[in-house]
Amino acid sequence: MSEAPAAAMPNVEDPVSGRFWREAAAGRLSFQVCTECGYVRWPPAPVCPECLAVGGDWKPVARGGSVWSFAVYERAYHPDFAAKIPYVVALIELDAGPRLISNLVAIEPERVRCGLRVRAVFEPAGPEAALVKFTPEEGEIDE
Amino acid sequence: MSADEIAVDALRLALADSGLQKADVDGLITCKSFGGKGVDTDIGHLAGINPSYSASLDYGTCNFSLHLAAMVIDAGLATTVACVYGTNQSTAGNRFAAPAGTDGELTTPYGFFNIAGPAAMAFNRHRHLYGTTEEQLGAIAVAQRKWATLNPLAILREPLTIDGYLSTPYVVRPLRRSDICLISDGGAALIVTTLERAATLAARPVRLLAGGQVTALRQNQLADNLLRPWLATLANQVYPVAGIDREDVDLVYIQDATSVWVLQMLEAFGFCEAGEGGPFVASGATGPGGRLPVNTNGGQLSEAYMWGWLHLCEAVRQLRGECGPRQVARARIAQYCSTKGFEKGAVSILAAEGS
Repeated sequence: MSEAPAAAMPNVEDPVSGRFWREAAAGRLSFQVCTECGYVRWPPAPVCPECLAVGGDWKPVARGGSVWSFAVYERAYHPDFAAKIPYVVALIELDAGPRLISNLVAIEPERVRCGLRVRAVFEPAGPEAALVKFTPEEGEIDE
Repeated sequence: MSADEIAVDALRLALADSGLQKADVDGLITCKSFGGKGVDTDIGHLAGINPSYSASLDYGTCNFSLHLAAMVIDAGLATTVACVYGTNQSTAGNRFAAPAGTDGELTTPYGFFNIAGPAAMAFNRHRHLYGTTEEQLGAIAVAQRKWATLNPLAILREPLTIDGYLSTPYVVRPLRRSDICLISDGGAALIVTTLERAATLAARPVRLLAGGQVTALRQNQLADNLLRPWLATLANQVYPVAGIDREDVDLVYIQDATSVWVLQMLEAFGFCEAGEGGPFVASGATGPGGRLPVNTNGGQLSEAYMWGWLHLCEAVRQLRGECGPRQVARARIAQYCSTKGFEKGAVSILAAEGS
């Protein structure tokens, strides 16, 4: 139950998760990979939720995944999104394992479906960060 | 009024209902509310009580508070526990522009706000798997509004038809405003005590037959977590403990942050088969006169949003036979299901005394 609208910009200074946005700015979809058990971790955390090993190395992973499901925002809950509605928020199941909340871009909301194959693209957000968004794989959308 | 003043007012009303004095309360369990209010030490101070035991839960739905109260009594820490909640979030300006999940710093850059977001995703997935339609989803809000028209305490009492529902704009497609809970001021309080003590009071008690809880603290690290498949484990636990069969349940209460929760929990607890929730609600089964009355107060979609607490108040009123035109005849057993986000679930089974 937090009250204030949260910032719509990624926090590159966050000691745990800031690296994710900086990796994206360099064109890499990277996650912490556990040095003990190899689990690909999301959200970022100081401990592996599988084996409890501390730490983990940030490593790039494959950019492909599929849409588990999606929602089309017709209302802006934050002023930063007023000009973007309608926009699509989706839960992406990456082939690498993590399940990520993100946006679908370069697709009309009416054409989004569960199971759609997508790949990560990077959208600059300030000088040091990029957002990881997803676009349909070629051939996924009927012309 | 401040949130805590409202909570204390609810406590006053609950004491009057039960016939107890405030000095009889030796346990206090509060629920934190919007703006960080609802702390036990503040509410106990305002209420002028010194209970032996007090605690605040950071999440509500009343199920978790009720279970804690029962455990406190079982453990001998208190005999008479007041569970209290109050909020002024409507006048205090909660616009529900909060992040939709617990990793807000990771998801708000993508515009993932309000519980309607994950609810819309859960519904779209259900539609993908089972062909559920928006008309079927709308039947939930329509049925609850029918109940609300019979409830003088409900905020929304204007009739809602399925055509009226479908003609309103989307908020987070495919959810419409009527699929999402209200924002309300108000409070609720329940007094929990032993059966022996309850038998000495003027008020007609309701018996807590069983409670169950489950967690999914790994959230989206779990497959299909927005469908909350783990809720089904509660169904397997709770009926044997309560000593009943699911078919014995006369009244169902589902904490409805959105209408999608009703769809999910009807299936999770086996009131209909997985995937059959849409046709089940569209048949009118859950409305007045239906074979499985659900949220007979109108729920959070039509009565008021008290983080689930009013569902338990309504269950008590129904089991006592106090509900006037919306009273369900011969209602003996009520079930209340609730969730905290996508990470905890709880259920309670209540019975009319003497059943």
